[in-house]
Amino acid sequence: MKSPNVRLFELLRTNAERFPDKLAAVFPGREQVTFGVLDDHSDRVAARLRKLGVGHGDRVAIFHDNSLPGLVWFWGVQKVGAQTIDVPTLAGKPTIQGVLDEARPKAIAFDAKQLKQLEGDDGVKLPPLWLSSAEAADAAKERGARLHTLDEILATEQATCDLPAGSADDVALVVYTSGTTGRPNGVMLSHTNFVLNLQAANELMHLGADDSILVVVPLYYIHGRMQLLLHTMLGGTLYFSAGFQFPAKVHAELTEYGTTGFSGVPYHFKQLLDRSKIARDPPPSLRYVLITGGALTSPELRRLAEALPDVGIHLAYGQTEAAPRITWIGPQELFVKPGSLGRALPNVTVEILGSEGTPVGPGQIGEVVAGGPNIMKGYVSGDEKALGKIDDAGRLRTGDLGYLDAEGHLFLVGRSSEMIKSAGERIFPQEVEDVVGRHPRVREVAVIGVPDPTLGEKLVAYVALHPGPDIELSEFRAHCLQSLPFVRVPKSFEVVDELTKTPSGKISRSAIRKAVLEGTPVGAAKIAEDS
Amino acid sequence: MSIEQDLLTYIKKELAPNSPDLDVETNLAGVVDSTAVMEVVVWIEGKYGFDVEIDDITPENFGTVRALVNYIEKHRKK
Repeated sequence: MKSPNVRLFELLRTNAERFPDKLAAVFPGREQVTFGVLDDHSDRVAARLRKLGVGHGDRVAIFHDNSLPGLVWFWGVQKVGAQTIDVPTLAGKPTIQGVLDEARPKAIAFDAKQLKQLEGDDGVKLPPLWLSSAEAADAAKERGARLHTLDEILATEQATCDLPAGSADDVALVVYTSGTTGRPNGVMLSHTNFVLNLQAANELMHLGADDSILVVVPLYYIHGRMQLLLHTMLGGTLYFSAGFQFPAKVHAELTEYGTTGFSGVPYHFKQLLDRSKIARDPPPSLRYVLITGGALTSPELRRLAEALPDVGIHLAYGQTEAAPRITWIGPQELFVKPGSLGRALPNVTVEILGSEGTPVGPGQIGEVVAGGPNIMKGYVSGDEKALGKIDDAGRLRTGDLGYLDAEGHLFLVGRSSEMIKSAGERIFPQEVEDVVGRHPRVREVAVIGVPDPTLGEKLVAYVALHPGPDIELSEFRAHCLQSLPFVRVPKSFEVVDELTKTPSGKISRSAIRKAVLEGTPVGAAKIAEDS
Repeated sequence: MSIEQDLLTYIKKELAPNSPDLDVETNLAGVVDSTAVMEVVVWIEGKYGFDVEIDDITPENFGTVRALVNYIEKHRKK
């Protein structure tokens, strides 16, 4: 394996030298950028950031849907040795504020069109340095922020190739994820974490500069960042989809762009199978697909294989804290080992720990624990050990339950993370609970994900109410829609007398989820039907 | 009520009550996400009595309320 002493921006520099005129990224509407121009433009952004005193060890929040400016800001920040913080644009204001308060970025890059999502009476307090476009000028003036626009930076700054301070072992970026603790955790990942994980993953998948991918996930999810970084390392082109609203359109994009690859979560594949004619017209250039973020059932996997007979199906398991891949299984073994999530990546170790905290043998169920150079530096809060996520041996306690077979294949039997994966979105339960909890009749609330054949997981809110007259449960839904996008609004609301608590008195989402899955009462109270 | 009014009322009430400015030309991409599109399809099928074909669920037909009105009118007449 190559030396790990590579920082992420060097992946871009290398391929800008190799392929200056090759397309690095294409966006909906055909806006596009070559490796050479992306490198040049992000150098100019870096030059400005240096003048502004943003550098090694500082943080810059990126609040962008997939867009060319978002990409240029990302690389500019990387080139001054600062850390990017990916902020999910769909998250509610309290979640966004929580991220900014904890990570304390020196600057924020955002699309001016998204500013309205941050404003209002409960507006988000932003760092004083704004990286955006001229449309944000009035708001910057009102709020006393210093605005630097990309157009002006590109027109006035010179591209230089200065090397920032620091090393490959420094934190490169922060991604927020939700464990079992209620609030989101900022996962700090180093350049080395990513580079070694990308190299290990590609030792198995053998992708190269001729590969390209259709990106349907936002770059602020680790799944999206991984695709960006992998293709930057390969010198391959990223084609950004207009989105998964229209699976038939995604099918058309795969065909029109002629991408060789596609990576999605189970929801995306089910949508393509059910709501597009991909089986009738398989995209001719597509040669591999990668399923992450969960497994398709065996019948669904067979359907996918029948729909795309000339396409290699790969499956990977990981966690954000592992930058992100832990195991992988390829087309040769996928149908030989049904249910397997594959074996550990070349430089990753996977162990199963029993209740005593010691490794157990093949076939025995325990907690999945991963070690290797891809395991995160820690959480922004510094709580990774206190939360039991990193043990004294430096291993990642995934919280997932599973077993290894005699050949080292991993099989999962249960998941502990409370991050809800619904319709391809990663949803923090707390952000939805914050909104539901603001309804005057709600005394306490827990939001959990329950298995759903279409969505992957369906959001269900369990609420205990203050006394009062009968209330239509649809009122809660309308209340949530005022503050949350549709996909983040619970699909049903269940009223209970009391929610299950931990001994210390905190609401236990895991106990509630367990009760729901087992069909036992939640919080030892009656469950009302959704109206 | 016209199809246009029905659609605007439905979307504003059930899918996006925080978009009071929504009109027939508003790009629904920012208003109706992938799970909501599925609900729109089910709602159209129930209300107007025809099956929405997979290939018809495109930005051209579902991109704005006006596009949806045209699409529904075309298929209701069949």
